Amino acid sequence: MKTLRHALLAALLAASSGCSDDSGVDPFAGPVPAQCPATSLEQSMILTRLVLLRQPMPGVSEGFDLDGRVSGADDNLSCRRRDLTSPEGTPGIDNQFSLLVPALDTATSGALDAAIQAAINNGQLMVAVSIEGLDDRLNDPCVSLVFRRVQGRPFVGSDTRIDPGQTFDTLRDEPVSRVTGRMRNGVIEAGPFPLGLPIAVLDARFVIQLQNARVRIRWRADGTFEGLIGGGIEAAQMIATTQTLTIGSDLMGLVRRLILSITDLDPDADGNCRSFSAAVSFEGRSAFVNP
Amino acid sequence: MHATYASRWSLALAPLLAVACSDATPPAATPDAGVAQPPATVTYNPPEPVLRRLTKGQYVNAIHDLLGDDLLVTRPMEPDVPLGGSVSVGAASTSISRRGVEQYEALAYDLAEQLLRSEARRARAVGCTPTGTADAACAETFLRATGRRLWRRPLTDAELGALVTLAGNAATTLNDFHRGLEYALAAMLQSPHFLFRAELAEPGSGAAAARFSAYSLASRLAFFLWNSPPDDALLTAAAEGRLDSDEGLRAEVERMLASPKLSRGLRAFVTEWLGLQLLDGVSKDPMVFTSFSSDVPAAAREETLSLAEHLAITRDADFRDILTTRETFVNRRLASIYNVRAPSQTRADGFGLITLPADSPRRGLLGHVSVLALAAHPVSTSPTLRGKFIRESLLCNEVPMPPVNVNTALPEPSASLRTMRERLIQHQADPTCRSCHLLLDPIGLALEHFNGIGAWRPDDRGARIDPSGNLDGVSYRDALGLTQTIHDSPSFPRCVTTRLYRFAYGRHESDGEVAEVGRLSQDFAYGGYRLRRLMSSIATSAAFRRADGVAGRQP
Amino acid sequence: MKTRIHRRTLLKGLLGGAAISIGLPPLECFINANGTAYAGGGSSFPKRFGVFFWGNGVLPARWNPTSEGADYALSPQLMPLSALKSDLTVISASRVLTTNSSPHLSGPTGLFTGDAIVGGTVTRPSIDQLLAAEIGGETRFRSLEIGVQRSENSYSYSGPNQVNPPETSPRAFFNRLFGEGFRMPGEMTTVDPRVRLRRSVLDAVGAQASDLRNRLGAADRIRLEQHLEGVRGLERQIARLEENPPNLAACRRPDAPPEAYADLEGRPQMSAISRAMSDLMAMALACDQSRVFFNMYSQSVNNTLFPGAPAGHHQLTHDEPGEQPMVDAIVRLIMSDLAYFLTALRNVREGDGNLLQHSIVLCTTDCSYGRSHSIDDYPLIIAGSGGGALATGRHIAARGENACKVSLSILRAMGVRAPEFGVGAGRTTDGLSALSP
Repeated sequence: MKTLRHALLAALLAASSGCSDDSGVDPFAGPVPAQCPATSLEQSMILTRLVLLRQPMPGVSEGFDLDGRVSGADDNLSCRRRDLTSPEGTPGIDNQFSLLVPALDTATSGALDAAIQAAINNGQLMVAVSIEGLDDRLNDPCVSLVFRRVQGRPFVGSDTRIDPGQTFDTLRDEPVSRVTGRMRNGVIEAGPFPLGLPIAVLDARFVIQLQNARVRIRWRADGTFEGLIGGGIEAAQMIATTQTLTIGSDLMGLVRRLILSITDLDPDADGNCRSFSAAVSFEGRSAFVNP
Repeated sequence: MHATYASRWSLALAPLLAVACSDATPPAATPDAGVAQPPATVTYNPPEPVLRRLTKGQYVNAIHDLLGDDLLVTRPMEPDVPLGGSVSVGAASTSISRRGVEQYEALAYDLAEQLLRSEARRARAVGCTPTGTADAACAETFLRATGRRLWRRPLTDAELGALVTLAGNAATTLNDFHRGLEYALAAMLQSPHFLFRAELAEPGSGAAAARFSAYSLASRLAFFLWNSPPDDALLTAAAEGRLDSDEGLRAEVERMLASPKLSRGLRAFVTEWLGLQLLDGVSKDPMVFTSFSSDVPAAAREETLSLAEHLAITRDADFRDILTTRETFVNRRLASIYNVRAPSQTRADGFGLITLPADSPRRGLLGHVSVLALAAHPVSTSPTLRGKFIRESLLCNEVPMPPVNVNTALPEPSASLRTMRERLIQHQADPTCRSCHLLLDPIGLALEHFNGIGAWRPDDRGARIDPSGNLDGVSYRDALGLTQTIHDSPSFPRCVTTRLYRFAYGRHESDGEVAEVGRLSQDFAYGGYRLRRLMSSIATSAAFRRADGVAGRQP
Repeated sequence: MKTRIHRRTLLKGLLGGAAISIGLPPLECFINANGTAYAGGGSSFPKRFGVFFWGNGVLPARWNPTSEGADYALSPQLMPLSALKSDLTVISASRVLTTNSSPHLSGPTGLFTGDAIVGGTVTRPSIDQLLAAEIGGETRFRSLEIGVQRSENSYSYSGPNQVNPPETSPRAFFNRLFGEGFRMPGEMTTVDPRVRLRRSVLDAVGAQASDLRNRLGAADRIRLEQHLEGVRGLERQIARLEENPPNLAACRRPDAPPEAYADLEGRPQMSAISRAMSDLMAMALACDQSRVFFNMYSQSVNNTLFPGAPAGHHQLTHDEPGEQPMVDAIVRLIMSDLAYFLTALRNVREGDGNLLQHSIVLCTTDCSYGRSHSIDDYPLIIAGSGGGALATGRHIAARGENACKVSLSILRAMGVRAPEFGVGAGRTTDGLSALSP
């Protein structure tokens, strides 16, 4: 009995400290390879919900610590933007965009989420994520995530979300982003990597280029997915993109000021931050993606 | 009788079932003789032939085949009534209600207008140019040719004369030759000669006291194999006496089996065999089954019919494969419910042939949405209904009515009764219910991994599902094992034979026909369980031509 | 006269010579010389008969009133009918005595036809069709069958296996009644010549079949005859279009109901459809388009998802635990739809009274307690008095009585000289005496 307990304890210690196993190589140790060995297993999802993260309480938001710093109002490297704290209490969360979301809510009379959901449900904004190189449903030291924009008229269920199990075609001439990552206990973490997130809401169509993007995806036992994407967005690119939306010069001026007011990443030689941090949460359901 | 009910709890007739239930032992399968030998001839004592009403499908096919497939048959008509689960038997037992008479009248004028008010269709159908408002000769030309098709025999002079007069009077009243024809055509379409199939007998020879007249036999063949009336060639074969000889009959049957219309006969059979017409009325709680959209029932029926057609006609394969094959036909909708990639190559209707993955827990008919959604409740599965479907439709066991004046309530799910299996076992504690539920529930429980619309579920609200069991003494581990057990049972092909016999004859087999059904079943086995061959065997059999029960009636 | 004798002959044929005889009703005294007013039965308006049927029973403990007689208190499930209390007679505790072999089917079959289900078949015409054969010949439609649940099934039988399918689309029912062919009194003085042509076509259809008849076996001959009787009925129906329609003060051409009633959240709009059907049926009767109807609100064993219910109706009757509050809510919802229907009839003024008073509506279901399929303690309501021919405004606890006595009382109250009703265990020669006014 005593021996068994010791053995269990040892195993637990080994697991928690990331000790190598008998073969001497811990597949979960070290950096994730840039490419994962190919396997026959593959699982894709279609994003059924996409939410620009707000601050449930001032200073609190979900997101990632993108720059590895816990910045206060005195941190010049983050252009004195104070970092946020996650709802679980993790400090250093970079999601300055969450300060702007209420303004977007006001500008759209509170219809922002509904507009995004409508764009998803009518097939305009369909992003698929494929998990390739899968060996195991729960723990896998190396999986590839592939982000693609897909097309097809989705079936939407009576719960007003895209039904699971549907097949979609990859949209040609749209950016495809890839990254490798690890899965532990059904949670995949990947990044940093450059991610082009195609957005199409109402008549606006553009690609948000996320620098140093990070992704976390939880694959639930019931086959559905939930996750988080965070990254830095270049302010100049965002302003240029906004200008293509023909929203009028008055509003444009305001948007420009707002965007420049939240930059917190990527300081230039003069100490001016060129990018701002952002994070979105999403839900996904199983899907098939035709290349 | 009461159609929905009859199909759900088929009104059991055979005494067999009572025995089966009270003893809680399954009915023994009739052992088929070895398949190495073709069956010998058997004694055959048929009852009286029956007057069959055209089913809705037959009416539509008749219009499209005889008057043109560009005519739209969209108005309502008398509903089909399944009796003991068979629309064909129902069509031989029911008449036409008053509302139905009204509906057939409205439909007749609608079709007559469609055919005779369009220049192009009129030219195609009438075949002569009238010399004036009244042109009896031209009217007669049209009515003689159209009447022969619609009534499936040549019209008598008196019949033709009356119709020509009717057309003439109407033409005069409305001052329009073709409007006159509309009324005569409407009369033919409302006639019992069109709406009913009167099978008439004539003296027979040899063992047969009477046989069907050549035109009656032509109709029997055509409605059986095509679910549609005879075409001109078949009527001509009847007129020339070619159906009277074995060789002539075989030649016509071969021609019919090669026709694309064969798929209609097969589809009509499979629809009534599996009760797929009930999919029209299936309803599911959208809050529970969020992806069961209104297009699912029709798609589910098409999947099953396409697979049956693929096996029986396209591949002419062992029809028992319908239970075990990994091939099936899906459109995007069904593919999503099955969680498989939608086919890239599809027919015009969006369906394509796919092969389910080798490790798929879903195979064949008992994995189809059609069967799984029909034999279930609006909010949940029903192992009892699924067990009943397998007993009645796949094994032809007769399941008796549930008894009255017993508490039928299933216990609610609780900490100790988490799964359907646990709740049903509790339910079986009641001895009155136990005997029959033991015949049904255990086999239905094998399908518990498929939810109320047929989608896979790993567990039952978190509780583990145990799909193991045994069918009449043969143990299986899961749904695939059950499927294989049914596939290997001689009861299954025997049941398919029985159901096809009822479809062909429009009646439940009488005592005098049991031996003939056994002979056909043996022949089915001997021929490698090919359904096309079984259809041919029935169509060319001596029994199919014999009309002994009519002795004493005028020819 | 000639056709009526024929109808009786046919009826006898359909019954296969079974022991039922129906006296000739005093049809002649219903109609005066003008054909516009009616006499007899204590009313100057025609008597109507109809059935309102719903599937899956009741909860007896919440259905049966606890007090009897005229001062009885309505039970919880009957409360939706409170405004109609004086027009109703509630009959409890009677039993359908024919064999209860077929859950849900045996009860109504026994009550409506007086016979058990034999060999899976309803053997005899139902009470509405017995009455249609007697009083249906004077109107455009011999009888009208409607339903609310989408289904083509019914307990209205013209003979063995001869179901009269209900119309469940309000729009289709409207078109049949008030669409092409319907005329208000005084409308359209010249008759379209095509109407006469349609009759001549039907005449030809009937003539075509004459030599077919003797080539058929006995059972098939009856089925063919059934069809031909329908053809002749349609001919008479069309002939009515050539006559001036009855001049009835309350008759109006109603507005057309919506083309379709789409399901809401996957649930049929039972109440909305029922109400549309009720309004149309009330006007059909007010315009004397028919005097007999069968309203198949919902089918036996129906698994309709009613608003707010967590499962289908039939499944709930078996699986809902305890006091079955969801089943109770469904029964009360059906009773409120019945109340709307009866109120629609009552709102049609006819002389000093109203259409409901001149009618007898038998309201019932397929068993008492759905969970056990019991047909003891059968739930029965009679609405209307048939112009004073039946008592109303009371609760009769007919303990252990044969429910077919109610059927026989109704036949007699409708003016049929019927010596008996039913066969075997269902047979009775007496009506239910407590129903006498």
